[in-house]
Amino acid sequence: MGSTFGDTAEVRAHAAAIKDYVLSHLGELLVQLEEACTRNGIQVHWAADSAAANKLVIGLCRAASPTGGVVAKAKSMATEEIHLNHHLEEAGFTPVETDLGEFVIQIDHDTPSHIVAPIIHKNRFDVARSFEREHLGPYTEVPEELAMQARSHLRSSFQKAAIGISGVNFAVAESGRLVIIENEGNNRFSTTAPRVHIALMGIEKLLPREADLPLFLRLISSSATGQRATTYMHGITGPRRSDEPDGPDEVHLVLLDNGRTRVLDGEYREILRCIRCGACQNTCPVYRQASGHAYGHVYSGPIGAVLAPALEGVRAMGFVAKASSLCGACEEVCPVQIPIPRMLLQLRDEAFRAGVAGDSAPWSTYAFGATHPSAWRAGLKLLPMATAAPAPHPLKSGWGEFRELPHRQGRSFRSWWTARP
Amino acid sequence: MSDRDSILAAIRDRGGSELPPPWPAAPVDGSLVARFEAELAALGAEVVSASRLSELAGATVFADADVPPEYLDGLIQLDDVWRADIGLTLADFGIAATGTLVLNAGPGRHRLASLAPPHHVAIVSRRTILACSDAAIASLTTRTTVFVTGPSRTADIEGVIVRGIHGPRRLWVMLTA
Repeated sequence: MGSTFGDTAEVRAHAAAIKDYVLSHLGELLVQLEEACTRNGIQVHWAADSAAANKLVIGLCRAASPTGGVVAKAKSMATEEIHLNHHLEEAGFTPVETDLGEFVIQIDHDTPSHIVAPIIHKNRFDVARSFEREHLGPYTEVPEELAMQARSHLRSSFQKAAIGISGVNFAVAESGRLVIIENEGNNRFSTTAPRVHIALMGIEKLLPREADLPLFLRLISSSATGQRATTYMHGITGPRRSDEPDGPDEVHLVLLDNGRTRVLDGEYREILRCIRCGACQNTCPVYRQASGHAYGHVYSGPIGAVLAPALEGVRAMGFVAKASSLCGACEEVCPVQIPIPRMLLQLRDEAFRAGVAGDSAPWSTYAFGATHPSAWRAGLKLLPMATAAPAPHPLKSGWGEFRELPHRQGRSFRSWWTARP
Repeated sequence: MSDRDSILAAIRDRGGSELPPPWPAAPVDGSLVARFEAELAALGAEVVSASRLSELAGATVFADADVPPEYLDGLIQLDDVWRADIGLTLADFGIAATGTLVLNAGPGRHRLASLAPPHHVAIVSRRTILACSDAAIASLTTRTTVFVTGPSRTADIEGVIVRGIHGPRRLWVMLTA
């Protein structure tokens, strides 16, 4: 996809080098960003983990709207990462996801299955049934009409909300500009119409200079959706100024660590180059078959298979590093050249050494048989009996329930080999 | 220890590597205006002459304070941006390579004018059309800005592109001297 726009290896290597500079000067650049934002009137907050971030955001929401009320949410993986909606609801607020895909996810009590296209696992009929159930309008299966029903429903949220919450695609350290890209316009509404805008950002999403934006905007658009430029690029430098007729009165930036500083110090450091374009998901043969939910984490696909265990440890998430054929397509399409296959191997090794990624019982049995000839021979004799036995038994439950072992035809290779003249 | 201090303490800057220079801008061949118009057309926006505004007579409009009054003939001016049929704004720059409009916030510039109404009409001077986003970003001020590239769109339902999901469905661009 990227090659359409001349995103050659040279361009990607350049982008990777800029992100590597950011990672090796992160402390310095974060302080520079904080100073620039503060100068612009953006209030900067720091959150060491997800609990701190939720507490901070809810504190800001309570200050902005003590009686609760609607919070307009723009699509943000960082807010998914800390499960912000759940915490907002518990605190008496009504978060409304305003991106079309995220809105469907929210009314269905589902979770996104892709970084960029959250409802890639649903079709128009699923959306039609959900919208009918939520009384958004007369039943229709036409995407245009469904989109217009969502448009009119969500308009009131933008007008009612005292608070808008968004993520950040890039924050420019030298200028303190928060850059958010999108195609729909809901993000612009959420960050413009409410009186208070709160932006949540992982600490690694920095760029040093404004002059780095053209390269990264081009890479993220072409890698994410094959566009040369997204419909909207919002470059926020602060709250409404006294001579400007609209915009939020307060802008808050919450800088989220949540495991990132630990990753920065370790073997998976380059995963922090990630700009969340989703290209590795689109190209991954495992992701394409299994879909995002199979990974059991907000970050799925190749990026998730590294980021989830890197952030949360191999003990909790190491198993997802196995969800790869190591074909290398992810590294090939990555606009910042993250060596994902190398990291997946390293994670598997780490998980194995930690004793948390042993093989499942059937595979262990197979491995034992495959390395012990006498056991293999015995197994071959027993196998026909095992498959003939009545269910339930291990070979006819779970995955095997709806599958059949191949039937043995003729004599075995071994008996032919020993008997050959 | 505050979260700020603990985060900064946990980061041990390695320093060393040099910041590579910004990636050089790609040149745009030929006429910038012609390229700008072609890109806009490909995005589903329309490049229109001022006379097309007469088609809109009787429609309600929310206009930026700096839009010259002759553009408002025949239109009904509203001061509620959420109810207007048309948002009429100036754009600070056009970007030829991508058909992008640059709208900086400022006095008399309502950010919602280019977003809330279903039809956005932007007035751009030919003299302000730049080759690529590099030049536009280099000329940004310290104010908030938005780059608009075509009408609002989504592809969330089965990848089908639908225009006008939250922002304007129609985008007209009027080129002036």
